[in-house]
Amino acid sequence: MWLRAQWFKRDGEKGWRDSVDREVEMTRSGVGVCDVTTLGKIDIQGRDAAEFLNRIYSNPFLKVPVGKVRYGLMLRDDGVAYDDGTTARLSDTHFVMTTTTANAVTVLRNMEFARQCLWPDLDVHLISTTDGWAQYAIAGPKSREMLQKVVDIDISNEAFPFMACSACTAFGTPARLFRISFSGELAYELAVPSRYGDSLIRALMQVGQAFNAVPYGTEALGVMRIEKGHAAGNELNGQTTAAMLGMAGMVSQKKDAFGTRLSQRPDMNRDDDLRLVGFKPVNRQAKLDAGAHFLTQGSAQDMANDQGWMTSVAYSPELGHSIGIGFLKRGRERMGEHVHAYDPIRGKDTLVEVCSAHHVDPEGDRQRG
Amino acid sequence: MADIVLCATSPLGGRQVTLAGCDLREVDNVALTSLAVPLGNDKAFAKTLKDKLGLARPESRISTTSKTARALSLTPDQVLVLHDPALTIDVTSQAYTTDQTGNWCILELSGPNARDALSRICPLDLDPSAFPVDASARTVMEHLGAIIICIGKDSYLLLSASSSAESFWHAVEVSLHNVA
Repeated sequence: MWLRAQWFKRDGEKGWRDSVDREVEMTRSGVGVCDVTTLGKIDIQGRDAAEFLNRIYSNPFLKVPVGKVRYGLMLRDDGVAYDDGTTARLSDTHFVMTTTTANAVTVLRNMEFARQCLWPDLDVHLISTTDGWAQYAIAGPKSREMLQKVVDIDISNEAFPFMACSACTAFGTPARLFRISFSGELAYELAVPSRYGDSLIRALMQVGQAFNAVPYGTEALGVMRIEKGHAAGNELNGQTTAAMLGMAGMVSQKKDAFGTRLSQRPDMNRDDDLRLVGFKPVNRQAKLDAGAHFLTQGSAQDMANDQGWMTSVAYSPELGHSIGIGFLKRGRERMGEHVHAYDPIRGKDTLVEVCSAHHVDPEGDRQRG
Repeated sequence: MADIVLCATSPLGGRQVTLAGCDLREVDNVALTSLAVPLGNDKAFAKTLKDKLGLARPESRISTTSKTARALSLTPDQVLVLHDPALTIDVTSQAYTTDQTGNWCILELSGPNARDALSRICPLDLDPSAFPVDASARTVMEHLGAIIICIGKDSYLLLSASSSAESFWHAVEVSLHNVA
């Protein structure tokens, strides 16, 4: 079983929110380190590895340059989105895929089926390396400065830009470095063979002392991805399409990948369908709740008037109030509108303002900086 | 930076115990490398495996050995090699290699009760007539994915995911208690 810290309590912190808020604030203003080992990792090799990935992911993968990482979206064969992650190209014939933690086995199983049964003519080979690598996210505006004391390659923005990847050493041990960001900050993920994982996190925290580096847990990770509007398990719940996630453009219409055809069905591309957007309480003191359903002002509180639901919420230390993301009918056209977040189970009815799902740094300047 | 050196630790820290007349220990001095055979390259791969590593290409369910390595066939186009970490697996011209060392926790179980203990948690027939020395198979034990290899009379190597190594150790240890 994977065990990861939700937060790291410090003396004087009274509740979990104190710890999580501090971890977010210190990461966004300095540097934070988070264990991301649990993400699925699949080694993909072969002459046709790029072609294979191009058929598995809905977005193009044929021309990913060596030394680059690309974000990919996977559809089920019925066209519904089911997993996402980044895949790095280490050589012409070698890729390393990351999957969500929960879907690591399912994705490998589905790809193994595709490889053996659907496209046996492709030269492609898969093996899980999830347990083989310990991986840490190092995020925040000081992450580059700190990491430059750890790795042996030039990681300046010019030499190692956003979405770069490379083999390197970490404290002299062979490692892999990826410049990817789940937090929305300038960020890297550093992987070493898992037998060095314990030693690496201790060494990172030792080097990090000079930068006031903070370890952060899964709660702070969740807060930062909600602030950033990144989809996770709550949004990829097996009912949501690329269009609903605001990723219709990631389903290439120029190729036939897994799920492409059935994702073209008219009802999955309706303009009046649910869209992922952000929410903030009109009364900024109010706390939002995941699971609340949206109702247009003045409409009766019943399923006939259901306008969607809140998928994820967090208190944003940066904005100083509760924020949420969720699916709302015609959500993109309703920016600024006030709707009810109605939650009969909790007995709550909160007026919320519709906004962009990208609550923090919508232009992405921080992660590219 | 210069004064920090990373130290390797195995999933169970080299744990060992004697129970029910059997020795159970974590094997932490073996490396694992997966070799995937490029489509249509079977002949050249088999020759390279023999020439470079001294290993015959294993058939399904029977591993092959050299002085410093053992090869298992897990799927039709993949061979897993357990080897001395000092051995260089230089077959990249004829196979795609992936380091699998950290993926697995390796246990060695030896002793007269080993087969009885394993029979309680492993669904395979481990009778020597069905599972002789050098036999290998993928299976599950207590819901955990595993690989089992018979390495001698009453002696087995057990591989399971390193992230659940504690649970796997617990399963084997409890089974040993039950046959004591």
